[in-house]
Amino acid sequence: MTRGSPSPLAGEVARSRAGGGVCSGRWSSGQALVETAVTLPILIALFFGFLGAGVAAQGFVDLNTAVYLAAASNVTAPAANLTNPSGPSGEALAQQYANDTFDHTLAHDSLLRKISFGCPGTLADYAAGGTITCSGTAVLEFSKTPLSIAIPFDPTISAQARATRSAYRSVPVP
Amino acid sequence: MVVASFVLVTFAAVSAAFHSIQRAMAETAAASGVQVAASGTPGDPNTPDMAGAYAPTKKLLESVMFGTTIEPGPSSPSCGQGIPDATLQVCVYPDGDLVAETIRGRPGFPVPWIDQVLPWNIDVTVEMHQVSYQP
Repeated sequence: MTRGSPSPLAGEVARSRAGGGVCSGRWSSGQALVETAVTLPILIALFFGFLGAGVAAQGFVDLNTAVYLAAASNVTAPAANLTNPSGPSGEALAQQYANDTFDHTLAHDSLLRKISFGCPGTLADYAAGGTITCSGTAVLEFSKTPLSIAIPFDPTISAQARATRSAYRSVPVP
Repeated sequence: MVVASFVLVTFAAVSAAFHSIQRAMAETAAASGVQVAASGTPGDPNTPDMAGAYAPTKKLLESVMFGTTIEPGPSSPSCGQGIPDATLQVCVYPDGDLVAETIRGRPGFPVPWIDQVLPWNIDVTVEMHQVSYQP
């Protein structure tokens, strides 16, 4: 094709824009097709993104609740094991209460897999008025859901909670 | 086509966000209720207060569960079975040394017919070691 001769496509475009050509409908449907092809993947990605954010928020709330209740269980455990003096100490009992609460609550969430949980503290933290900090970590398993198409990894999330023991415990820890 | 897709995605996003809020509140409500349940009954501090959990749970749930009936369920894990749509059951039951609270059902949705299509069920269970009192 030489520089001076108009291309057949240019003529078609000109007729189409003028609105009188036979190709007018074909042009606009082609334009709509291109727009859809560009926009649809973005909208689908947005859709999966919103759902993923919702599931992630749900996982965070569940883990936070489990850690929060575990910390509350820890500080409401007996200060000393009076019913079974040869059994676990008061601190061990408190830790066991917290572990039981955390494990049982997390077990009801099929998308969270426990990695670690603990309420480390000194002996003073287990005494009347002491404050304990519990931390829990879990994996949010997107791979168990259809969302794994859009979110191909399982993030690790963690939560912390602090709780203070009553200042009026029946048995003070030395 | 693009406009229809945009409207659909926007609606999906709004409804997913609404469900997230409802579920988060259900978790909070269950956590507050189970703490009451795990503590002692008035007059008998070593017996969990199962009945006391319902009132605080319902009060919190009501703030986001529009057009939803909230009712107490059986004291067993078989909670929310055979209940109609737009109903949530609150069940509190013992699980060994722990006390569990389950909130289960399908809440009402602002757009009436759409809750038939969307699987926005609520199924939340939390557990807490019951508080024991020593002399």
